Amino acid sequence: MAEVTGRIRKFLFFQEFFSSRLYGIGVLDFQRNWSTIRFMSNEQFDDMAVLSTFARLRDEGLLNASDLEALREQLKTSWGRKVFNALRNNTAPKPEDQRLLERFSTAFAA
Amino acid sequence: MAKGRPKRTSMLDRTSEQKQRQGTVQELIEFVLPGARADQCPAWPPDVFAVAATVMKRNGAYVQCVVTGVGSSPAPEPLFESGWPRQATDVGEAWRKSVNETLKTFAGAGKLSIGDALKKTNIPGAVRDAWRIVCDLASISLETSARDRTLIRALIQLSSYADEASYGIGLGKLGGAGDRFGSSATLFLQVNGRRSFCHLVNHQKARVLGKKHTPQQGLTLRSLTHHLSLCMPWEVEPQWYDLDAPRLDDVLNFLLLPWPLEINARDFQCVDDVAEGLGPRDHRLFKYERPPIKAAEFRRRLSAAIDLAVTRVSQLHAVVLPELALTVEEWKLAERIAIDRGVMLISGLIDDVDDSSRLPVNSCRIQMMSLPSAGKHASKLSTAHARPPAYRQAKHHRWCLDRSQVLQYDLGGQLPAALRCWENSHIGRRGIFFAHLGGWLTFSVLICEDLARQDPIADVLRSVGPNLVMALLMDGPQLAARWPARYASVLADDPGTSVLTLTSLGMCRRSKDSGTGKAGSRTIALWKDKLYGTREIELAQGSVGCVLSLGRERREEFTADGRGDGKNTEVPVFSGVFQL
Repeated sequence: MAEVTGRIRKFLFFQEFFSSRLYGIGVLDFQRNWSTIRFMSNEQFDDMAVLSTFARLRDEGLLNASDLEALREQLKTSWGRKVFNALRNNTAPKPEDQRLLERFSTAFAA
Repeated sequence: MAKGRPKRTSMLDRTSEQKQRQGTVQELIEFVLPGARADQCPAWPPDVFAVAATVMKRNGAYVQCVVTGVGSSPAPEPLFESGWPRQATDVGEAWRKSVNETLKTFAGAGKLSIGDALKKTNIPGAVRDAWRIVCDLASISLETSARDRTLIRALIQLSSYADEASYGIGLGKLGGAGDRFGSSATLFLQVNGRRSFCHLVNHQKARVLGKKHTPQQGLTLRSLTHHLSLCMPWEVEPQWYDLDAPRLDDVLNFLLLPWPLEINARDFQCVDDVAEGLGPRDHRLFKYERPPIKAAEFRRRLSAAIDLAVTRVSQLHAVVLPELALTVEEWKLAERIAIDRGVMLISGLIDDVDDSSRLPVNSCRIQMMSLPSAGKHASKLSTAHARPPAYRQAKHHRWCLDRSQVLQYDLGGQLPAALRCWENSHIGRRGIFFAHLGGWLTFSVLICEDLARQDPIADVLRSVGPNLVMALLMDGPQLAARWPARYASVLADDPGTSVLTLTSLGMCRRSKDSGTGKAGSRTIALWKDKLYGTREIELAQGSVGCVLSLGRERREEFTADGRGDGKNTEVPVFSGVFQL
């Protein structure tokens, strides 16, 4: 029984390890780090608010380089900065990020 | 330096010195908005409001916006003529329109930043005139400023114009598509760390946030606006989140789970190692800990409760649990279920830890992102790919169990009734969030003591006046005669907030009635709204929870200077309870 449990744990570890390699850094990675320290901060939540403002300003053609920089300075997580860069370069966010952002703002709704 | 007779000060000099010691309006304006000039009225309405409201908060002059008494002596002339409300609305609308046109013309890629573009705004003459009057008369002392009717009139005018211009600020896209004012407001909000909508006024000097309720009782600075609130930058950090998706309809269904259903006295324990260094033992620290529930069993219970709830209502919007209801591990399981089911999740946590100090902290978490979105992924989030972040808020005041409470909850075998026992919870930086979602709901969450100890949070809470406050408690029965109902009434009266209080059935049943000494009450929640009053919510025998249904009612509120909001105040009201 102990051997079976050990194998399952090993399998789960490898699955988790390789999934991060396959899918790259995304929200999932942030969550992983997060769960290991057992408490959460509001940093990613705050970043979503910043990103939603970015999308709203972009949709209304109000984005200027200095405003863009002012918004970027407010981002607190590497996840937020990566999504921000993707949006700034007109690259579609990863599907899981897109789904999350839609929860915050209709500006992300495709 | 030549010596001589000391220079004698004239009466004029003495008056000037005295005035300086007292502080002048100019000094206050200079503090809030350094470099303010009479010929340079700020173009951004929240900035103008921050200046005018800060002065009025200091001198109390706003009370003169209405004639408050008549008697044998002639009543003072009203500050405003009968057509004032219409005039204020027209000026505010013109200001908003001008800001929108300016931003459309000058702001954007390859053009100016929003801040620079605003400088080109054609500010309505009425606003500029009032601003000039305030600046010209600002050399008077703060004390005498409350008697200068010209100054007071100009301050109230500025406040009201800015208020009318800021319609719907922080409340999604109420200004409609292409409302650049609203978009600019969200930019400034983010740049201010979600603490203020101001552009030129630093959030450490004064904070301006949105607003949901205008008090209809009493006369305070808050009575003067519909859309803008002044929050002084004291110790509480407000955080404003404006989620413009998803949309909520006129019916809200909250699943109330008063868990744990049983609480053992042994779950309360003194924390000896921490209390050692605290000097004489006139108080102790205590902690509440209960045995964790097995993951499979927890998942089964929660899923079953939600399944049961959705047999009664076609759409469930939120699952709410009381203070200290879940462990962090249980929260994670509950969060996954909430995401799968597309419902919001709000709960207090037992074993949370403060980020910076790593000390235990009594906190709550709010998962709002689990609600379905309006986009093409409207169905559900996949928990396999993304778990959205939840918001976390720590408790502001520790629970203190004194003799009467130790007896009330029958904890005398665990905690020393002769000493005051304080909850072992770290108090750090105090914050409160206001989340606007679904197009009409602006809500906050308070944890137990934070509802009762209104200082220091009351000022911010009353200023913003969210239309719903949920108080998560570890308390006895939620009866209309007990303290939660009293404090809920205070918020329902002023600013008009609807309040839900929820405790665990376990704690509710432990509580002994002070008169009869009997325990076993099942009144786990209380609802209070300003339109229909108080409702005690009892959990039926055998039930694991209940669904609280809320409706939305629109009402018109008026400011003290007579401006209505066009029936745009939305009040969540009690619509029913279904036992599960």
